[in-house]
Amino acid sequence: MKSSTQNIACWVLPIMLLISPSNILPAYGQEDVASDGKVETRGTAPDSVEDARLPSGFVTRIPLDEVGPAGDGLASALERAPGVYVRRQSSFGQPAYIQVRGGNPRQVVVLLNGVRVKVPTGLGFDVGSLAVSGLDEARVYRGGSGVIHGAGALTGALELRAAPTYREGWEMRGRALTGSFGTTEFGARAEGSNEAGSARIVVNRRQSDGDFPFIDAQGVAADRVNNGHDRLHLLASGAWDGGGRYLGATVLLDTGVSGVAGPSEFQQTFGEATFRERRLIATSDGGARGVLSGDGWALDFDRVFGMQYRRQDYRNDEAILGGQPFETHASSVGIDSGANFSLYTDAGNFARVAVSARREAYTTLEEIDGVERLDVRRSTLGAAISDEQLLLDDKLSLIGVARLERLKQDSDITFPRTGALGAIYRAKPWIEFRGNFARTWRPPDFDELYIETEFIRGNPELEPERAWLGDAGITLRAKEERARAEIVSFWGRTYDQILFLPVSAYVIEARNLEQVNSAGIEFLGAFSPLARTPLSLSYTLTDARRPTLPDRVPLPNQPRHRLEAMARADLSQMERLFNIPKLQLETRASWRSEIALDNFASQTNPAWWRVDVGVVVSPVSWLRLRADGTNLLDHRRAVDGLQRPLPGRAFFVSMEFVAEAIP
Amino acid sequence: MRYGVIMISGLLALSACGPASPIEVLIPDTPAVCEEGPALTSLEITPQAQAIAEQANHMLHDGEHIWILESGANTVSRFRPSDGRFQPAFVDLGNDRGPYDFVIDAGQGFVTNYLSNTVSIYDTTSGEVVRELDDSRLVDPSGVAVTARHLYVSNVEYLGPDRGWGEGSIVVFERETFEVIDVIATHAPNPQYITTLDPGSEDEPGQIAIVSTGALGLVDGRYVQTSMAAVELWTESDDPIAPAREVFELPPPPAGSRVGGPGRALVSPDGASLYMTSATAPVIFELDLEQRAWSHGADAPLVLYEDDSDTLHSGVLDAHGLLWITSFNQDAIYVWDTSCDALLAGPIPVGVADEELEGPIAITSLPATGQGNDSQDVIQPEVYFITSLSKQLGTIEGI
Repeated sequence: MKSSTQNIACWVLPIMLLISPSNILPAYGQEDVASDGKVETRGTAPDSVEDARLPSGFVTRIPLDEVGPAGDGLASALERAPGVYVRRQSSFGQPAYIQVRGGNPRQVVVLLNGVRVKVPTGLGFDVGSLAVSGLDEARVYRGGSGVIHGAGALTGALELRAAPTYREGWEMRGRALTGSFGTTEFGARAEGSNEAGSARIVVNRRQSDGDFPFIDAQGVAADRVNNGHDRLHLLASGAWDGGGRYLGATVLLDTGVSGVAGPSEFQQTFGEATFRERRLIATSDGGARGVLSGDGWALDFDRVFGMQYRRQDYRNDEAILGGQPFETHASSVGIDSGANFSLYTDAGNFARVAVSARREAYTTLEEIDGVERLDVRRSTLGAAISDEQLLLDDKLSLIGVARLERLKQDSDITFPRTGALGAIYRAKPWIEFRGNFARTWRPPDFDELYIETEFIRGNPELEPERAWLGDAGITLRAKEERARAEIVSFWGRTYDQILFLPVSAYVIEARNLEQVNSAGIEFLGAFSPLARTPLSLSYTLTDARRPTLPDRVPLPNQPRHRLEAMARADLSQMERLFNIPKLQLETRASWRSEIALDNFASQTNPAWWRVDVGVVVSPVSWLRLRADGTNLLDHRRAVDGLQRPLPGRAFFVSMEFVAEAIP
Repeated sequence: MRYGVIMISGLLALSACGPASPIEVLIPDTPAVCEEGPALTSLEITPQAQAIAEQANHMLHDGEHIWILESGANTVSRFRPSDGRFQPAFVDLGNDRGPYDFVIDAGQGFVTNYLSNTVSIYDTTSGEVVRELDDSRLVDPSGVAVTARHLYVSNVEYLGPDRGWGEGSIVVFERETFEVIDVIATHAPNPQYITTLDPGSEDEPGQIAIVSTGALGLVDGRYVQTSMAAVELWTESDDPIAPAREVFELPPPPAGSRVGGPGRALVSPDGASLYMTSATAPVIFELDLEQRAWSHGADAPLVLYEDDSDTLHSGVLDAHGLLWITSFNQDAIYVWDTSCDALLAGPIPVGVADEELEGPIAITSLPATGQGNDSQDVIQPEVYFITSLSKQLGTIEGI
């Protein structure tokens, strides 16, 4: 056993080294400057942003308009945020799940335009199969910053945004992609805006055979089979701004079928397994600025409303035991609405009152010759108040958030209370310190409570998960945003975490664990050592473990170290060399340390590097060509889960036609 | 640059926080409980001596190596106790096999592959699979045993959660050519295990014991034996399809009881008895081979401990007549003295986590070294066990 002195030494020294002021990035990190002379509305590097409901919280915004290499969508984009680990089941288009600061995917609430879209069952929200077409940005709420999203956001939250711009004019794009593993993608997008509003419609169809070579744990070369997918993605959104009043609406339809490749040692048994999914989400948001105002105060109002329907069907004609067909069907319907009132005063006070209501209905049907049915409904009413007090000539902000919810499920009613205290100290224009302490809460998911198969059982006696989370960090921004860096240390204690565990040789049951501890360091930085060569770097150290397990046994599927670096060189309009509208080189390097693949860390997967390279060429303004090579080192032994191989080297090429008229 | 150097320094500082020592548990000397039986020296338990692959379900000792069958990885690993050398995946059986049981004989390992309905034969020196028996008459093969004349493989024919088990059977192979001679139905369903009682020779008939666990199913939320179970003793005859058969039935338990589900047959050192642990209850069954009758059958089993929850046990009988039993659901091991049928030691904890099962699933005992023993009365054991859930090879050593 290690002594407490050793434990302190293990933590204090690295933290001191990592956050010492001499480590501040010295140079310029830039937003993208478009090669065609137009000013792009957003950069491509992740950046920290403030959410007015808890401005001291640590939130990372990731632009989605140009996410990483072709053929690796939302999951790839989210990996660029610190504190985040994306657990992949397989190649692009197959499920992937986001986890934050040592938590698990169930503990992350997912929203689209402020409307909750994560269904309270299953492993978590699948960020691997959802296309990003039409989505503009993702915001990752790390740790206690997720408390503003209410019960469920135990370790964080992810908000996806489709936010049409208000740039006047219209634009149409058509895109085709082809690449390794039999992948093809076709997409079209039309967008138009005027002074008052904008509209956008996007359609995307992609399919992949998905079969790739890999090397299994015994060092044997093999091929992944039944790993394909075929998905259709439609998104329409519109926004109107009438001078103080605004309104937005988005409809997203995502449907498709995919193969379900089994464990790599038992692929044949899952050779015909399929998974069909349909997801329809409609959201609306709106509000008005200054609905009421007086001498020294003003009141804003905003609200969201959304509905979603989701259906999933799984079928395997040859189940692993007995050879009988096995199928499950599940559907869910959810309605979510919320309203916020925000009060500003001259006295340095910014108060916000929010009320929200949410209703989720969930039905699952399991068919194994006979029929079993699960029908659960949950209603949530919530109220929250937050207040930010500005002190010391606005250098110091003290923020408090309190939230009370009423959660009704069947005849059970609970009143989760969550909240956070935070502070911001703006020491200089280029440096500020922030800290938060929060209490979060997650009710058991429906399957954790009620699933009932021969071998897997829910547990109606489960306690909800509770967590105490703390973080503190420094944010640095050079003059004119020429460089930026954020260094954060986080800490968390989760009680009663829920896990499906074997309770006998025959039964796996949902159980509460006594405690899970997590702590770590996050770094996010961007700068540019040369003109038009922005670099971004993200690093996360996560130490997550259960104190009831032997010392040094980490949580499974959680690397201790993770590093993401991205560099871009814009060679466009370098008259002596390339006088073309766009020529851009990108490279991205990702590294994670060894991960445990089971609760006892008996099975592990070694550390690995992934290197991607891409080139974008626009020989004329209406054509964009792109070529990408991913995992160029051709590492074929990587897995994020036991017997879930990840693909080796792959290549993709795409072309995009652009027609636009911008005044 | 400076930042990179300092960051690397930080990472190195973190990496210096190395792994802790393996957990060990000490059990003091255990006095004898039987007049004719031995005592145990102090025991040192190392629950996590060596990580193994997923879903290990059986282990064997061939005199030099401990062989570990890893069903979830389709592999056989081996460990040499004399020098601690571990060779993971020494045998790669190939994907989609689902190995269930194995036996080693004359330099060859015979593995039943439940999912692929085949039997793999591997060379114990090289680890290479030299042959894979693929015959349509193999249906969910589970148990396997070898005599001088024949290879026996049991078909459990599991049809699924709703349909239960089909008619169990034994596929008889000719020993040299591995041609299927016949398929013989078993007396009861789910013939999971076959044990060689006497390998015989070309001239002398061999003898095997077949344990049909019987159908298992949920009754009022509890797993119990739901059909007849049986132990069959087959003595080979000149006609390979007509062995002399003796059947010893274990009826399904009455309502409220979980006694049943016999496991692998273990032969006592004197060859006078067969012992079987249970897959459903903390009991031991004993069949008297001399009297050809149950000493402790379903109506009067030996009680290992009192518990009414799900249980699963497996065991090994050592040369001193000590029956070492793993208790899957307790993360524990018991030691039963067969000389007077009494509990010598246990539960011996072999887990490292309180809130999570680790699932000891199989155990093997090496010949006691006798170090420090002036008589046979005090045993200094050397026992190895594997856990299915935490994927570890553990040890119990007398000190």
